Amino acid sequence: MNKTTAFLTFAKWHQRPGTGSSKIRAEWLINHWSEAEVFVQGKEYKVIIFQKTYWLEYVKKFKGIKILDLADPDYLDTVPIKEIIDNCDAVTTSTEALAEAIRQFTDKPVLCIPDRVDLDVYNVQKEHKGRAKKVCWFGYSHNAKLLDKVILTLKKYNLKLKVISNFRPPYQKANENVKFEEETFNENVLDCDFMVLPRDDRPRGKYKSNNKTIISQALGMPVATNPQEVKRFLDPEERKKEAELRLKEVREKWDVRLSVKSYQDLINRRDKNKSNNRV
Amino acid sequence: MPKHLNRVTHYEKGKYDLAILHVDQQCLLSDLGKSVLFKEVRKQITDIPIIVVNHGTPTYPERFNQCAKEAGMGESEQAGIEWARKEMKKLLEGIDAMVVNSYQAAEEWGWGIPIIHGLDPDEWWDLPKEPRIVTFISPGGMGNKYYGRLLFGETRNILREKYGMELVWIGEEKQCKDWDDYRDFLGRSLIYFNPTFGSPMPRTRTESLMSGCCVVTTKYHDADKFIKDGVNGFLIKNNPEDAAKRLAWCMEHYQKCIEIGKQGRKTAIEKFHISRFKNEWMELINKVLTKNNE
Repeated sequence: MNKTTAFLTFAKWHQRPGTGSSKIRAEWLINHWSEAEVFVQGKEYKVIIFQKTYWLEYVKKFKGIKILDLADPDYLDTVPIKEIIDNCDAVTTSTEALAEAIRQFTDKPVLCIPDRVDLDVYNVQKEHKGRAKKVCWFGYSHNAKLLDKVILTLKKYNLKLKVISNFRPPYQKANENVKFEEETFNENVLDCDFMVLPRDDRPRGKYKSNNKTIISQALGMPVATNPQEVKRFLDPEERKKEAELRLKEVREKWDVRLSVKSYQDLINRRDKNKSNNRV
Repeated sequence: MPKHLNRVTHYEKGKYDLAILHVDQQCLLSDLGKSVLFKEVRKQITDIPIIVVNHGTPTYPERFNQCAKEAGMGESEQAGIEWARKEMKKLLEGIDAMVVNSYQAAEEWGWGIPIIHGLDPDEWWDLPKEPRIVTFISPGGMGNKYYGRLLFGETRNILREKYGMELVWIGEEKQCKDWDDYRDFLGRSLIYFNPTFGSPMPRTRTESLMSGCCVVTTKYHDADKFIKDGVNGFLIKNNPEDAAKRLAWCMEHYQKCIEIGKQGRKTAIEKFHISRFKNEWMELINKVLTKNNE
């Protein structure tokens, strides 16, 4: 199959394989999109999606369809994005809050294509038995401090905490720290009874996607975001009920193939638009 | 440097009609090089009228409070200002005119002719704006109050911790390759933050206005005479919470800042035009030369 669409991923551009946003917003889509691949230097494409990469010179020169994909409000870190957006055909974002913010800067189409999951990657589910003993959190180490506020609740219910992270540094208050590796991730999660994902009320929390939640739910793991839910999920019947309900939702709404479809529609619309402009 | 200007190695009597010399409050401190430079050059020029441009103000509490104490004038910020006024009068004895950069500076020194700087609107570029906050204050010298480094630092911390926003300090995080690079970067910046307290009429504030940036500034040195809060810029209190809150608001109101930036540029063209600046200088020079020829 001729690859006409490329994702220039953050992981490739910065030589940081394993970057979460590149996996979620590009690599999983490529798994289900026969015309797409990770960008190859020097190769000709019809469409390029710049996944959290800001290569202004290339964007200016490239004649095909250009889409800037944003997973974070990087402009708050002073990254220049306006000139790149002005030279692109469309912008996609991981959340509606981010899309709203970006619409202020441009009249170009800004479309929220939420983070979704590759159900071929998360293809096993937890079997819930007995009172919960161990809970799990995963993510980048610098975000683990969000767990500080749940430690007392976990102690109250005699729950152990496992943290899966990039170990920079390991989370000191966890009972068990495990390094994130794709091969062992599912097994490490399923070794626990449910997930704790406290709400991110930091200033940029409103731009964060729900990817941890849907990944957990795809594995049949209930997600507790507050003490009431922690208490509820001690009970295996409650966990089973919640897991079934959410897994159904994930299959209906959060399958990454829906994102592929959204991109294809967007590209077709842009393509028609460009053709009309040429006429 | 303009073609009609030449650098020379020494002063030659009889060759010139008028001298224009720089001075500021640092020239009052004998341990600083500026002080020596002014005094030595001044001594060479005895045959023609002299205008000094005083680019400073009597604000330098980190040094002047102690000077006032040693001179038996008490130890306070006000005593330091009094000491500086007195010493500047002494230093500039026999000078034909002292030009200052703002009306507030003239008030603070107790004398001086304000000539407010002017820019050529064509030299400053109002470009499509990146949503970012920039500032360009001196990273060193003159203590923290004068350039507002204290307010800047505290505001920056609040912006980072409470609002999750960063800003760019030109000259520190952003090194400009040349003047064009600077004008391009400034012209593409949505918001300019001016935290200065004592600096009279900071030039970068005017450059930002002329570049169509939305200027968020302290009220000092006449800013409240030409900035109408929320119309052509924003005036903030000398308070980091207030400054951070306003800057964060601006980052969330892109289109409003664009409109304010456009109004700011109009104000700059009206009040800070190079033609007015040149005319005021020509008028003063004529006056000084005429008086000396009488």
